[in-house]
Amino acid sequence: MSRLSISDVRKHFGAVDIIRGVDLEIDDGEFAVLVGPSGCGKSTLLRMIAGLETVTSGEIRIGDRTVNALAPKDRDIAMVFQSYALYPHMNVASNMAFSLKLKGVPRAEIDRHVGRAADVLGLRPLLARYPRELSGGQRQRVAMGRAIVRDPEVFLFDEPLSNLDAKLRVAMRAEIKLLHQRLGTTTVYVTHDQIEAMTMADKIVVMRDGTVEQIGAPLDLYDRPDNLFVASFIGSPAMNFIEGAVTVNGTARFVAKDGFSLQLPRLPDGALGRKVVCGVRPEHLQLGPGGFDAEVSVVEPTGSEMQIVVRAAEQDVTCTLRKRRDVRPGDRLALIPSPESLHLFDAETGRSLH
Amino acid sequence: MDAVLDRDHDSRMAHDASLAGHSRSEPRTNRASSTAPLPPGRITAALRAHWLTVLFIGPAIVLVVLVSIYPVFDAIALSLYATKYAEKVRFVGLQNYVELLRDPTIWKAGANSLVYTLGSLFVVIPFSLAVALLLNRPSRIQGILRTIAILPWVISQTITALLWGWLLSADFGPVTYGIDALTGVRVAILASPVWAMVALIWINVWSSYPQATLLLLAALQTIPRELYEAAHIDGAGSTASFRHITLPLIRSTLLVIVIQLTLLYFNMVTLVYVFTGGGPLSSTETLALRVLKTSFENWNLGHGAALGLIITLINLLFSLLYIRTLRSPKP
Repeated sequence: MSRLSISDVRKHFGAVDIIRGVDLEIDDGEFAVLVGPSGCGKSTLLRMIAGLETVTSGEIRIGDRTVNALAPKDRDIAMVFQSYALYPHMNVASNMAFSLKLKGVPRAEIDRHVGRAADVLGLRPLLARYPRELSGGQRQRVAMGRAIVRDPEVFLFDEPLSNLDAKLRVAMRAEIKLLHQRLGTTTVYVTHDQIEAMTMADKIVVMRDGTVEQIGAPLDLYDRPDNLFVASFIGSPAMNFIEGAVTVNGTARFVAKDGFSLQLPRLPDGALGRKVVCGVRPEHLQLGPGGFDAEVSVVEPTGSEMQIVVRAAEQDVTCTLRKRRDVRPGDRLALIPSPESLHLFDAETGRSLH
Repeated sequence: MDAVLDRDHDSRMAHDASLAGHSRSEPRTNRASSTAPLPPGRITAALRAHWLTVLFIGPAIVLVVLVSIYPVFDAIALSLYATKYAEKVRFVGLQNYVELLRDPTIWKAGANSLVYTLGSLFVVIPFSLAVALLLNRPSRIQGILRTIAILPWVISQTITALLWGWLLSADFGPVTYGIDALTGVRVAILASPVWAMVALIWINVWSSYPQATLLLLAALQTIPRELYEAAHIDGAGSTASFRHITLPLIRSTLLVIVIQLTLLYFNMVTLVYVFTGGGPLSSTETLALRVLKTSFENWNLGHGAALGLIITLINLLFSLLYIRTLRSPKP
């Protein structure tokens, strides 16, 4: 177990900047998730930590060692690949034992390590099988077993669940989290799925275009997104954004372009006299007067809740209702957000206005 | 004789056909009639019903029978006769085979074939694998390198043999000249029994390695990059990666190549015939070359046919052995 520090790390492929200066501290035993849309550089950053990509500039430290120039095998890390990368010609036991075998660890000790990892992951009955004889979930588990056997300082996961079906993904998500709680090894996990990030992480790192947009605990990112990108990326269904301006008439109010206005809990700094975007999460909209009227266009019941898409301020606004209601397309509803849950952003810079 | 042979041959064909018909109709039990021999009227009816099928597959069957099946049976028959030029003189049973097996020069040719085949395989496998590994690395001039690597393959064996014959010529060969200039010794490579075989093996490898390289390159490219990355993280250097990842994953391709090349080398005539003609002192005369010489230089077609069949049997044996190895479960 070790602390992982990344300071001002950059990566160029020719003239293309992939990583443009990333600073990141991951504490000992922490579960950090790098999340962002495809092409944001999250996998490249992970591969740089693993030593599979060179670092153009900056420093990566694992524990108290700078690892920039170290080969992957000397970094004391273990990686789980998206494709699992199991050796197809070796059975499960040999796959898990490979790194120890290369190190020249005695047979008996290898067996003990493999046995322990197999017990942790429930792989005992599969040890003699070949990867082609395993299901997707089992392969995933073997890939984790291979990582555990090495007892590394840092675990690296590169989108490990994206090849699994939805149900299995949820189960494995919990399993990985449980495993982390049990082993307490520092973990860096890459995903494009914000739900995975929210459910698993101690710390989420939201990336875009090779830079970090925001770092924080899952609920911090949900409650206080720094900018429009993080606000739109975290949370499902995504936050609604309505353009408008802020006025003060006794109390501070947000006025949407087409006229309706919403009460704000306070006047944010520097919000007056500029174009703003008001963000409101679907789950923070309730039925009731004092907000705005809208016409229902789509109703999507999921059982536990209802998602309604309405037309307001000349755009679609999504609303999640916890209580069942007889709502049909074409109905008119009055919706009101709770004032505390409104987010205001500068329309030009996208920065949050607190 | 031919009439006898043809009748024999025809009846065999009919037998085969009825076998085929039988097995085909087996699953369709409702067509019980097709298992019994068809009366002539029914055959015409069947032909009329399936004339399009017959039209399409007929020519192919005729062709295969004429150029592939008939010659085999003709050769079997021929090997049982004493011959004079292309004519069968009298039936001698297995006499030709006995004479061949008693001939020490045949055993010598067999040994030459073995040395030539195994020697070539021994060199060509590591060589083609090394070239494939080099070509598999990303390079800006990859296209050019691949073209160069394939060139020997597209040159006909006759040209290859003539080209190398000239290069190694004792009188005016550049290689001979080079060795002379460096060491002061004028070597006549093709006049030495040992060196002639070495040279023959080398040009054989030179002309056939691209075939193996291409197959190996294709196999190497199917190995996912993540496997090497995983091995890299697991602590494998390039030697360990090659041993534990590359080699096991191209194993079946290697086996296929070994089968192909064994058969190719064992039956090779053109290259040997043009390059050394079997000399000096029959030191490079292989069994395959001996068939050609016996049949069409000494005009002993009976012996030639018998030897040809022996070679065919050896080929069959090789193939069966390899197929078994290929089918055996992975370790």
